[in-house]
Amino acid sequence: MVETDAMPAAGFADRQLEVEDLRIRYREAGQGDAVVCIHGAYGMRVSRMHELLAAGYRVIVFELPGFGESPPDPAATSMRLLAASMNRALCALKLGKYSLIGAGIGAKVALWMALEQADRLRALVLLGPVAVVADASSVPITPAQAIDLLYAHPERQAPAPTQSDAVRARQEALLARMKALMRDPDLPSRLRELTVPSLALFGTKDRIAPPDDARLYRDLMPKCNLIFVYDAAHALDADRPEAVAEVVADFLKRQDQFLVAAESALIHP
Amino acid sequence: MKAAYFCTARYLGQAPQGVWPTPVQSYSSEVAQHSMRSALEQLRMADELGFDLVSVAEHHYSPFSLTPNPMVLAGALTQVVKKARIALLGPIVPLLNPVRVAEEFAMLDTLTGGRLVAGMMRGTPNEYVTYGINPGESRDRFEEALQLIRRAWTEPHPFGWQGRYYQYRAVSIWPRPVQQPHPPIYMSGSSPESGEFAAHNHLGLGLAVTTVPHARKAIAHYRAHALREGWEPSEDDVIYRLGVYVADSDEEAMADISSAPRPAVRITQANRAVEAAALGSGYYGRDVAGQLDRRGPRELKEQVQLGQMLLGSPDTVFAQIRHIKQELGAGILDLAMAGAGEKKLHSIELFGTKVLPRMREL
Repeated sequence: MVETDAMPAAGFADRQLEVEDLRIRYREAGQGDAVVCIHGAYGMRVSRMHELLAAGYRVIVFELPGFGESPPDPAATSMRLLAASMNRALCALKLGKYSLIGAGIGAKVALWMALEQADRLRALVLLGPVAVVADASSVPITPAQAIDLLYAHPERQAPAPTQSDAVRARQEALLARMKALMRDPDLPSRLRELTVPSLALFGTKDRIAPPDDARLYRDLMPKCNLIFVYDAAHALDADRPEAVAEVVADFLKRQDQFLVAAESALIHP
Repeated sequence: MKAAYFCTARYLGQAPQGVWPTPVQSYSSEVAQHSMRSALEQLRMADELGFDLVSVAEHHYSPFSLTPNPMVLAGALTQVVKKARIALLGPIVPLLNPVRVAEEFAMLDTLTGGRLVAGMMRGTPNEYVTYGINPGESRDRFEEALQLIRRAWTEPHPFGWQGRYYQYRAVSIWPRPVQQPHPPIYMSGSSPESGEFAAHNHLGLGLAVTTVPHARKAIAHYRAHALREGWEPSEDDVIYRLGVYVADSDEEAMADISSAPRPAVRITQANRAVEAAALGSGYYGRDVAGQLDRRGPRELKEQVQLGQMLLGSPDTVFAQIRHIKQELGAGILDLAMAGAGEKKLHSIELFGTKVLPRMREL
């Protein structure tokens, strides 16, 4: 199920950069304030949500080392070190201030990135985060297991491109390694340090990052805003792209003021 | 078996019949005040006689019911009904603000010390005219609203909701329900889709404006789907609503009710344009014929035969109840008392003293 580059989303250009012998691939579209996206365990995927955000932002969707066609980062023996590599990539892009979106276990990477570079962040968004979990065994190890859990509405998704056996085997080994990196006892106690405006979204049908996990994040990050996205599973940006893009875009623009409705409800003048 | 006393708070004066929305030119506030007092008195009497529940519903724009907002009447009942549970059967959820509904239920549960039964209904198609909601979206709105209401009752932290029909940035209701994790929820379940949804979500089933044959089919469908979901509904998970009138003899009961004016069509179906629009909207789901048939107008004798009406002496009414129990396995009957004035009060007394105690045997 992990997508390859076979079908890049509309308007997103394939790019790569070199940072200290590490080649990092990414896709980019849009202009304006930068929004950096860190994918989850099932690979880089540019969704309709990213396309919608690109209407108002410069959206950069990274491919984590070792995923897809990207070479692995041998130094990334922990999530914190992986986050450090990604922060170095961001420095190389010279973005100035940016917002960060982490999905699934990408949220764990994003949280470490935020902790290490807090002064550069405008806002932090977590989509179906698998960063602080009671039981990592809920994270499926194989893409075949994942396909049933990613989408509430698989019938609405484009068919996944086929993968070679070699790529599939590599992905499964990588997922196993990522699961091992989930044991990260330092992160929960550090989360209280985060003062960047934060928003966590959970799909009501997510069985990998179930909505009841939202309480864990709110307990550890008392100022984190929580949103439940109705009728969405783990890939909530693919299940309900317009709904997710709308609230994320509003939060990126207004941060905590997003609580107050700004759109007019006037029906006719 | 348990009994609920259902009161619509009917307007007890002259009013146009057979037209919806009903014009108000003949409306009298004195009559309306008397009607409300009468409703409260009946419900108090039902509580004193030992009815297990009292129930109220939502209907708009007609003298049939002076409870367009059943939560308001239920609020009054929290101070009048001291023992029986108070069942909202119930708010028409797709028309309403789900967060407000969650708050109101929580208030009522707090005021009663945990005696609330939270029925959540889709209502009849005409009610959708009231607040300008498309009846074709009724089911989708209902399903989303119910998830949101449950989350509002149980989520310990403020949360937002990004739904299809409802969107909130922060929900954190005070008060919270007394009953944990929340009050028992019932939904109307006459359609197969509703039965499936109730089974999937572990909800109780309410059946109204139907017949025993239709209800039997709906209950069997619900139970089969519940088993597939890994649970078995109890008898008390099914509420069956029907009319009732008890007199000292069968003949007197029949004479009293036969002589009362009976509308040619239910007020909720009186507007043909609205009914036609509802039919075209998809409101009725995949079993259109079944939904139309269960609501169809019937003569009194057929109503009794099909279990829409309990009518007769206490012994006769008890036998009818026993038959319904055997047919449906329902644990709760939601009883709409027919009649008027002193005869109605006598019927309530007869039911409460001579039928209700025997229902416990079933």
